[in-house]
Formats: sequence, structure tokens, C-alpha cells
Amino acid sequence: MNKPENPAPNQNRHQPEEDQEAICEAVKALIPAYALGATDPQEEALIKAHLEHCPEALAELASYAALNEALLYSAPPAEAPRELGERLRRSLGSTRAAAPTASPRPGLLARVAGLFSGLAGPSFSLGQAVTALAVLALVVTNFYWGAQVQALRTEQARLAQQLDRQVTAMGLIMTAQEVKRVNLPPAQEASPAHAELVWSPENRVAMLYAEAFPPLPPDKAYQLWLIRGDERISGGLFRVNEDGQGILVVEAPEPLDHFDGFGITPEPATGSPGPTASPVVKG
Amino acid sequence: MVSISPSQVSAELGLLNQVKNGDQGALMALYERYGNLVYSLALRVLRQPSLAEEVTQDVFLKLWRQADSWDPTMGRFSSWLLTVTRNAAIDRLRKEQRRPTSDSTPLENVAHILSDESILDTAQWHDGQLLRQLMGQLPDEQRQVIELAFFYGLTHAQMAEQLGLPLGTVKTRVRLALKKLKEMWDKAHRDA
Repeated sequence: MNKPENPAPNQNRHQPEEDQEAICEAVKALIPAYALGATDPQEEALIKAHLEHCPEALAELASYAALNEALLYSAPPAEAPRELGERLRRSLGSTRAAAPTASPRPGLLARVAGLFSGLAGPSFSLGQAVTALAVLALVVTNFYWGAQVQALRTEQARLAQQLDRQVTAMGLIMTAQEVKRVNLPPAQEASPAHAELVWSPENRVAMLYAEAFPPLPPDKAYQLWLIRGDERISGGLFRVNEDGQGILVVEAPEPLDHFDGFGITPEPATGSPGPTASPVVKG
Repeated sequence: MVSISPSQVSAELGLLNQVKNGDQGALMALYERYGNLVYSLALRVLRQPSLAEEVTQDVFLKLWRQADSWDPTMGRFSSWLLTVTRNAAIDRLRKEQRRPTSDSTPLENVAHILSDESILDTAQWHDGQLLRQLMGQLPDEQRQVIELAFFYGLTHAQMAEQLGLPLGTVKTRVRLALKKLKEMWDKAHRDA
């Protein structure tokens, strides 16, 4: 495997070359298991650190991505019992009714207060009321911070997964024999926005790099369109950072060579069936 | 690249937006399309229809409550849904404290397995079924470690304990099994 060009901080800095080679070989041997999720935590830590600076290990990992995804679809096809659909339909009403936003139930304050009134009975004193309010404040605070922590964890997991996917695609492109490119210039005058599509026909993977795109509000995302005649096919959604840069692992039903052109428009964050705004870039 | 049809991508985006707005019909349309796929994977992990049904229902209820938890920038919807299913089924397996022992009882004996029917007309599903056939060609001990890792969520150390084998043996077996499966998979694609 390649020698690291920019070793990560505290990563093998003082180890002789032979040791690094040995680590490299050990990691390489673990990559198939890592792709499958079979590595133990300490092995995972070693692999993740090594992947940061070893393109060869990265490419090895990328080569298992399609296999790993196909395993998800490899279960023998079984028919779910008919009544399962009915059960699901029946439970939809009750679960949606329990959601806080659409709930006709009393608010959190009223529900907690109700608990205390039940405990206190008719002789509910001022001291008990103060204690109840203090506990109520604690409960509300805990709910709030619990929700915040959960939201952060979810976002962290989403970003880690997104990064994994981008790194895998990058690895496949980096190691491809043939790489094709298309530049997408700005579609509006004086706009600095531009993008580049890069793909490997051999590895069936494509990536989009966007630069100088205008930032969008949280309920919006950029959507790539694959153009063929009057047809507009979604190639995926992406967001840009504060510098207007964004990356997308393109989803396309066919190799990109089969399309006449490409465009990117701002759309709702969950995507749109067709373009609803003027393109930012087009080519 | 993804091989779902363009109209399918648009339809999924549209249905998920409707689910987000509380449209039960849209959720049921997603269930109609992916219910068997989700159930099949849950059954493969749990090997017990009643548990697989519960997991399938939980997965779609999660989609109902959090329709925006799928981020389209992360990849195809069906793969995301199956990843959620796999995690939920493995969690359930652990809660039930069932040891993934043997696959000797054919699934046909516990559920209605569709012999040659496509439950999802996409390249991914057909690829997955091809992979299942290829796994059948692996030596038993190699197929076993792939299944223990992927369908039951076991790590090297957990497999070593379960199989009563030295850790090094398990690591080697997993590596060789996956390399061999990948070679067969690559060859099948080249020949196709």
C-alpha cells in the first residue's frame, strides 16, 4: 500500500517504515470485514485512522460498497401476510394522533400539572405548589435538552454516513482507468456559481462538485437534473456550505454519457419531481 | 449507478412529501411497493414470521412518524429502508436474546417464500438475488461467517465465541469468504 503523504496527527509519526507497511497490510486484510460491519471496535478505530491517509485502502473499501449494498437485497423473497397491511393502516391513525404537533391531547404543562393534582388531592398547599412548579421546570428542561442531544446525534450519524458514501465514490473515481468530466457554467449572468461532473463509466459512479453557489434556507436544497429532450430526471439533492461548495454522489438510471445536458435548480429540501426554479448552472 | 426508473424516483419523492403531510394513502402506497422487501429481510434475520411482521410494521410506522428521516442525498430510498430494517431486526434479535444458531430450517418451512417472483423490479433486487445464489456456492463455513456478520450483526470476537473458534481463524475465514464472494460477483457481472 502507499506510504502516507500527510500522516494524520499522532498517527505512526515515529514508527519506522517497516512498521507502517505492516500496519498497512494488517488494515488491508481487515477491509472486507470492515465493509461488512464485522470488525471489533478496536479494529474499527485502526482502520478509520488508516483510511484517512491511504488511498489504496480507501479504494479497497470502495470496491466492496456495491457488494455490501446488494447483500441488503439478498434475502429470499417472502410474502408478507395480507393482514399486516391492514394492521399497519389501523395503527397509522393512532400513532399520528399521538404525535405532539397534531395532538388534541393536553399540553405537557397541563399533563404534568395533572399528575401533581392527582397526588395532592383537595388540600394542595402553597409549598406543594412551589415544589410542583420546580419539578415541572426540571422536567421541561430535561425534555428540551434530551430532544436537543437526540437531534445532534441524528445529525452526526447522518453526516458520518454521507461522508462515508462520498469517500467511497471518490475512491472508485480515483482508481478508475477512465474518468469523464463535464463543466457546468453559470446559467445566470454575473453569477460566480459553477460545477463539475466527474464520472467513471467502468465503476458506475459519478460525483458532482459545486462551487460558489448561493446559500439556501434550511427548507431548500439544490437538485441536479439529467436532461434528455424534454425529460428532466433527478440526479440527487445536495446542500452547500457557507462558501457555496457542495458535493453530490450522483444517482442516475444510466451512464451520464446518455444524457444531452445537466442543470441544477434550488428546490424544496425533500426534492421535487421536476424543476420548479431557474437553473443556477447548466451545461 | 442506480437503476431505478426516473418515474420511480419522482414517485418516491412525491409519496414521501405526501407522507410528511400526513397522507395515509401515500404511506400505504410505499408499503404496497416495499412491504414484501422489508418483510423478507426482517424474516431472513429473525426467522420467525410474527417477529418479522412486528419489525416490518415498526419500520413503516417510523417512516410515518419521521417521513423526513430519509435524506435523498444519502442514496436510494430502498437501500436506506433496508438498512433501517436490518438494524431494527438485529436489535430485535438481541432483545429476544436469541442466538443466531443455524440456518438449517429452511425459511420455506416457516413462511410463504415466493419461488421465482420479483418483489421489486430494480437492478438492486436482481443483483441481491444473484448474490444469494453465489453465496450458496461458497463452502458452508465461509457462507456461515458472512451470514453471521451481515444478518445477525456479529463481530469477529462474537463469532469466535459463538463458533468456538480461535479469533484468528474467524478473521481469516471472513476475509477469504468475502474475497471469494466478491470474485464470483465480479465475474458474474463481467459475464452478464
